[in-house]
Amino acid sequence: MDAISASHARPISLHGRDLCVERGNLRVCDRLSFVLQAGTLLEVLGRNGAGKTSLLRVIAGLSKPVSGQLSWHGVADSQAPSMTYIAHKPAVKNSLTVRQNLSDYARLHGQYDEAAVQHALNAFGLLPWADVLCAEISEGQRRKIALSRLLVEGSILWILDEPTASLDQAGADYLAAMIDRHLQAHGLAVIARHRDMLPACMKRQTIRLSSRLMEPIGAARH
Amino acid sequence: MRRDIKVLICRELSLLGHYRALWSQPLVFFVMVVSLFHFSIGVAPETILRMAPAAIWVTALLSVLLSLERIFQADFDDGSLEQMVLLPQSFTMILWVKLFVHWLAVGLPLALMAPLYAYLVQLPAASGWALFLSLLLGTPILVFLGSLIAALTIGLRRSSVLTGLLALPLYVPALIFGSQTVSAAAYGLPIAGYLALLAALLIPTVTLAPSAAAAIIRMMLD
Repeated sequence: MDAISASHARPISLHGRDLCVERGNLRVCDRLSFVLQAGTLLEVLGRNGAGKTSLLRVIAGLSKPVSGQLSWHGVADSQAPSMTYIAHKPAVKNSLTVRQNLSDYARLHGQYDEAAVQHALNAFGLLPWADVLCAEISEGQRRKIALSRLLVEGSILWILDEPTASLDQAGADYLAAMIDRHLQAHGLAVIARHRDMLPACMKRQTIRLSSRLMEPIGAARH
Repeated sequence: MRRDIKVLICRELSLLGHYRALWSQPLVFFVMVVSLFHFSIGVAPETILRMAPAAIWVTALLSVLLSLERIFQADFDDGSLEQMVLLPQSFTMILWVKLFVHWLAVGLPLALMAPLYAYLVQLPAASGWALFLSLLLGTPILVFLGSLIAALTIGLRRSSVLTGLLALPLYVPALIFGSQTVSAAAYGLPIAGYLALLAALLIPTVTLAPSAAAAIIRMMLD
C-alpha cells in the first residue's frame, strides 16, 4: 500500500539503544544503537550464522534483547505500529489455496480489500495459481505469497529476512521496486541479506554483523 | 474484534477439513479400544455396569492425549505460530479460538460417540446421559489443560511419551469427577453435584489456560 503513512502527520522513527543480542553463546551485537527514520532502510549484513535473524527477531518483538531497548518515536501511544515480518519459513498453509492464504492475512490485519489481494497476486505472477492448493506450488512461489503479504497488510515497518532466497530475478526486481515505493511513502524497512540485491539509490543505514563484534558503519548514507 | 474471531474460526475449520487425521484418528482409536474393552469385560450385565463407564472415560482421555501433539505442530513447522504472535489480535484470543476448534474436532465427537456406545453395550439410559454430560464438560478440560503441555513440548520430535507423562497428573481430577458422575448415574444416584464439580474445573481451565499457553509459547519461540 502506497498511502500507508499518509495518516501519520508526524514522522515516525524506530530507536534502538544499547542493544545487546545473544544467541546461545554467540554475542550477536553489543551495545548497538541506531535510529531508523521514516523512509529509510536498515540493512543487516553478515555471513551465515552471524546472527542476522536473531537481531531481526528482536526488532520484530519475538525475542527479547539481553539489555538495551527499542522504542518508537512519533507514534501516538508509543505502541509499535503495524509491522510485517517475513521470516525464513513462509508461514503458508499447504492445505489452503494461494488466494486464501493471502486474504486470511489481509483480513487479520483488518485490511482486506479484494482488489488489493488481486493486485498483489498479479504483481508476483501468482494469478494463474490463485485457486491452487499451496501443497502443489514451488518453494519460490511460496516465498512470493509471503512477500505479497507486504502489499495487502499495509504495515508501516517491514522486516524481511533474506527476502530474495529462492526468488527468481523478476521477483527480486519487483521486490526492490516495492521496497523503494514503501520507503517513498515514508515506510520503514529492516532487511537482512548476505548478497547485494537492492539498487544503491535508497536511503539506507547498514549494520554489519561479525560473529563477535558489530558496528554501525556508513550511517545514513544517501 | 468479533469479525476477527469469525475469520480465525473459519480459518481453523477449513484447515481441519484438510487435516483429516487430526479428528479421525482419536475417534478411531476410541472406537477400537472401547470395543476391545467390551470383548474382554464380557457380557455379564453387572460387570458391564461397573467397568464400561470407567473404560469409556479412560479411553476418551487417552484419545485426547494422543491428539495433543498436533495442536501446535503444523503451525510451528510452517512458521505460522510466529506470525500468530505478531498479529494485531491478542495472542491469547487466537489460542482460545485454536483450542476451541481443536475441541470441536477431537472432544465433541467423543462426547457424542460415547453415549451411542453406551447404548450399544446396553448400559442404562441414565448412564448414557451421564456419560455424555460428563464428557461434554470434561473433554474441554482435557484439551485446554493439555495445551499447556503441548506448548511446552513445541519443537520436540517424538514427544508423545513426555507429553503423556506431563499431562496425566493434570488429568486426574477431571478423570475422577468424570467417571464418578457415570458410576453415580449407574447406581441411580443424583449426578448434579459431580457435574457442578466438573463445571467448576472447566471454567477456570478454559478461561486461564489460553493465556498461560500464550506465555509459554512466547517463551519457547524466544
